[in-house]
Amino acid sequence: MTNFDPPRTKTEMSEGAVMLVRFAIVIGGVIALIFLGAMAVGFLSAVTDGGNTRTKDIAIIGGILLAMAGVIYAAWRFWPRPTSGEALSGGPGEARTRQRNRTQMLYIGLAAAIGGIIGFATGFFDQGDGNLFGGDWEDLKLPPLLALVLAALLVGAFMVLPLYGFRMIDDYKREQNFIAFTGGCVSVLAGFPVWAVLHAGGFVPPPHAFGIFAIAYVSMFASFIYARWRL
Amino acid sequence: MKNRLKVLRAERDWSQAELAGRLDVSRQAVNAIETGKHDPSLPLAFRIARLFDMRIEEIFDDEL
Repeated sequence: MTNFDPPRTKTEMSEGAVMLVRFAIVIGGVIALIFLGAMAVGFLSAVTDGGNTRTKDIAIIGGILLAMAGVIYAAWRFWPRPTSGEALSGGPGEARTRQRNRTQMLYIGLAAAIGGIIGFATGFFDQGDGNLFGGDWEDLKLPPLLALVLAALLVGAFMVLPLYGFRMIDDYKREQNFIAFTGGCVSVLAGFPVWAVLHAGGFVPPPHAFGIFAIAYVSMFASFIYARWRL
Repeated sequence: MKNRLKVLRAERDWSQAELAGRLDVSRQAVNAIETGKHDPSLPLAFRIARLFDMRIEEIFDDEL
């Protein structure tokens, strides 16, 4: 009988090595994309400030975007995948798992794209001198239509995608995520009054909106780490 | 909750990843169930029982 399964030429990596390679690809890819993205935004700002866009400038920006696409392609190309034997083995369960992994990657990519659009749009169309982290709200200025679009994107990125993501993970990971969300929520519920009381007592500066947001995120992350360790 | 998942898996010479694929869950979930750190949901317990062609109480035991 003919063996249609292609020979395994690659040496199989251990699960730890696969995780390490994936981690390196993600970190390296993100750093490269941030670097190239910042370069593109900076160049674009300089060009628009000068008010004289030339073909050469467009070509340079196009080149940077092409390099970003290259980084994404390289990450996809070198991403460790199951060997052919593993990929062909099993039944509908494996097929569903692979489909779910692909969907998860799609959603992660979508979330990254939304983040990139939001970051680019706020940096490029910002009309004030405000800073999201500084709390100088009156100095934050964006075109109203853009603000509405960004608000919708933020709802999608911070609410719809995570909630929809719960449908794509199994019981075990859902439990870990519930613990993480609970940790974040409880920390904010307790964190704000505690901060206010400590401020009233003269111990800390007044509560800050971004500080509350950071409490939620940090405690959510810490709770997730705890859940991974305990469960 | 104690269970016989590791033994049943070993009898069939399946890796955790293989069993995870058959159950449509993550490998970490299989590991957590085997080590008793995580109790599966009822639908997952039924899937496990069907996969091994056994009853749930033959695999899981809360009195062990």
